[in-house]
Amino acid sequence: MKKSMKKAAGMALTASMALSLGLCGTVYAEENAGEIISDKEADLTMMTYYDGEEDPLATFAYAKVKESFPNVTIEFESQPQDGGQTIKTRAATGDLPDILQSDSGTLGLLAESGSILVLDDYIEEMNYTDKLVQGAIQTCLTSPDGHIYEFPIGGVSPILWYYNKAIFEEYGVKVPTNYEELLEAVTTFRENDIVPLATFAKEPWPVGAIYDSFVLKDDPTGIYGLSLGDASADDEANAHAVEKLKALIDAGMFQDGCTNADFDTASAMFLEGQSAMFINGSWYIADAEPALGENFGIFEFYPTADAGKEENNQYACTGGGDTCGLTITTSAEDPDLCAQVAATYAYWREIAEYQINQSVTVPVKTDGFETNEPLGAGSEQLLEMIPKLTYESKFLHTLPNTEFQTSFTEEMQKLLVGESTEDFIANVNKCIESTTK
Amino acid sequence: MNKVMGNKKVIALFTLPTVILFTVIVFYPIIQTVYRSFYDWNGLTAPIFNGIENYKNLFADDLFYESMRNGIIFAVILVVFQVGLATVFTMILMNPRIRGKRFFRSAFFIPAVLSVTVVCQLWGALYNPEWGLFNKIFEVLGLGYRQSWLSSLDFAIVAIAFVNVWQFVGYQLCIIYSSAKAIPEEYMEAARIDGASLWQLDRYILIPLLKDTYKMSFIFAITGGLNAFAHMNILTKGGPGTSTYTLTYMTFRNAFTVGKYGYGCTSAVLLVIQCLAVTILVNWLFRNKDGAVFEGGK
Repeated sequence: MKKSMKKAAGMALTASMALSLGLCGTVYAEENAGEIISDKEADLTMMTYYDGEEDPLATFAYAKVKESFPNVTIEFESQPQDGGQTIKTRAATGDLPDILQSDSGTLGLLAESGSILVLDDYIEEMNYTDKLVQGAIQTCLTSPDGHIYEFPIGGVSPILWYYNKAIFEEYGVKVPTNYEELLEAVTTFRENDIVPLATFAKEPWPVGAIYDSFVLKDDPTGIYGLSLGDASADDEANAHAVEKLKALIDAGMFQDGCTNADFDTASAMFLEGQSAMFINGSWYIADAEPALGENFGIFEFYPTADAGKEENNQYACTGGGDTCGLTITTSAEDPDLCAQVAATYAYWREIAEYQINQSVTVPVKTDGFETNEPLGAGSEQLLEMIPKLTYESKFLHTLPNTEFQTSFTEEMQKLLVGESTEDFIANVNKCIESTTK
Repeated sequence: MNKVMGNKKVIALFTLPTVILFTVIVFYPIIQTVYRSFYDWNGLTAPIFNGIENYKNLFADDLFYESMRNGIIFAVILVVFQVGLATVFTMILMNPRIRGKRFFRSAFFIPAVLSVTVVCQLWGALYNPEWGLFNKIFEVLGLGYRQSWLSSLDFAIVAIAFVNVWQFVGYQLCIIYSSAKAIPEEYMEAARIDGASLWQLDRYILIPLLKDTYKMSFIFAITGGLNAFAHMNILTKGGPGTSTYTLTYMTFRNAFTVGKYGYGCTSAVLLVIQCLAVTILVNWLFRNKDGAVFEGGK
């Protein structure tokens, strides 16, 4: 009862704010760059991934906020990558910051509980969609309930397979384009004590990306389809994917102890030449390309299709867009100000992502802005690939079915360290049945 | 003074703050946990009463039995190795011919004052399958026995338990050794005059007189094993898969990762019952049948 009251109060508050916005007109700093929009004094709290005082993107965006809101100070909190545990716990105890970065793994629950504001009217008043690229408007903005809850951060980012050209050349290995060639490459690398593909399977989403890389060739809905109960682990597409993956695991595709490896460990193996391949989001180009230089390579498509069937869903990709961005919590004292600040911050952070990190998948339009350095070959290649890529699956950690994502991660970890395909399929099916009924 | 201490109202008055504090901090959360275990609740939206459905689901959940099994393995390892090693170290330190006792006492206790995070970082490095100390030792010895210690479905829980053994053996040693030191020297002296060997001294004098201390040590070790959490959370996050889950970890997963707070409370209730049952059982096993137990030098 209390929660529904809270939700109703949240909606009412949103409506009243929208009304006041209609009266006052709402601006954010992009359209009035450098001008003072509000001289209100406020100490706001903001929780985001990666950001903090040391982060150049946050520093850049915060400077832009200060230009337009000189009397606003933001206290940053870094959000742990813990599948939303911290956010959910803090929401339950009424301890959320004013502005919170959220993604679809937690957004629905926060919205349902009335913990965050509906931003439909703010987005409209600010004409914020004018600043977003079409792909972001289509896939990163509106939640399944038809409302907008966030100013987008992170655009339509594909998960890519990267490789070290020097290692492939040194051992005379052809860059694989299908599963058979991939298996051959894995075998050759193992014979030469090179880790074929370093991964950080201690985290949930990489294991989802690995699985998706295989199943998408036969079923483009991948793990998203499984999480909805639209597919099962023993259907033809999934069973075939598991069979191929298991053969690669047995051939030594991943490093020993991969289920216990974090990003830093796995990435260091790739960047230091101990591993031939690596799977990560397109954002990783900014880290890997400078480190590997000319040896940095990106697979044009996942080399996981059966030989002769390479064109099957050739550019089907895992990852993609997500309703990730800055939300305004209902505990914020001045939601209008928070919305303006969040919009300003989100916009300029993404511009900085483009300018500093050369990320070509940001959700905001970058017309009129230049990257600080000329785009690297990796980013250029990604720009060419983007129009071809298709997304029907999702990042594992953003699946709305949180119980499935947790159980699936557990099962994938077991498969990676030796569980049989029969047990894996049976357990995943059990998990689908129990979480989608 | 005696008059004051004989007044029950005064005793009640003085103990009231502690009782209130204990009730608020311990009993209220336990009652809340039991209450919430009868609800379908994600921690944020309105809870829905579902009777004993959570308990029925729990007893049908494979993860519950895996978590229980892991808790028992963990507890057995702590009892055998932590309490066992602490006993052996106590026997050695009680030997009058051993020198540098203060150094050893401090050295054994140092890991106990380190944070779990530091200890796990250290052991995570030792267990590393590529460049960790253990695999390197096997390599240097020319043995082909290499292990992915923390990535084994069967062995990871054992590997983590030994981290706990290493860290807190000094704590158990502190408890057992301080009790051993409190045993009047005349008992030992009399036995020595009667010709008892070192082993006989320990076997027939020292260990029997530490019965009450062992009761406490066993309760600490068993309940510590059943509700272990921190070491696996840092070292493996419960993995690979669910192979290092204990009931505490299962509770954490259900409540905070999956968002089934009510279901998480159910496994928490079972954990509390387990720990209570173990405490009662150990107390019963160690009950004083003949009253011939040394009580701390009184």
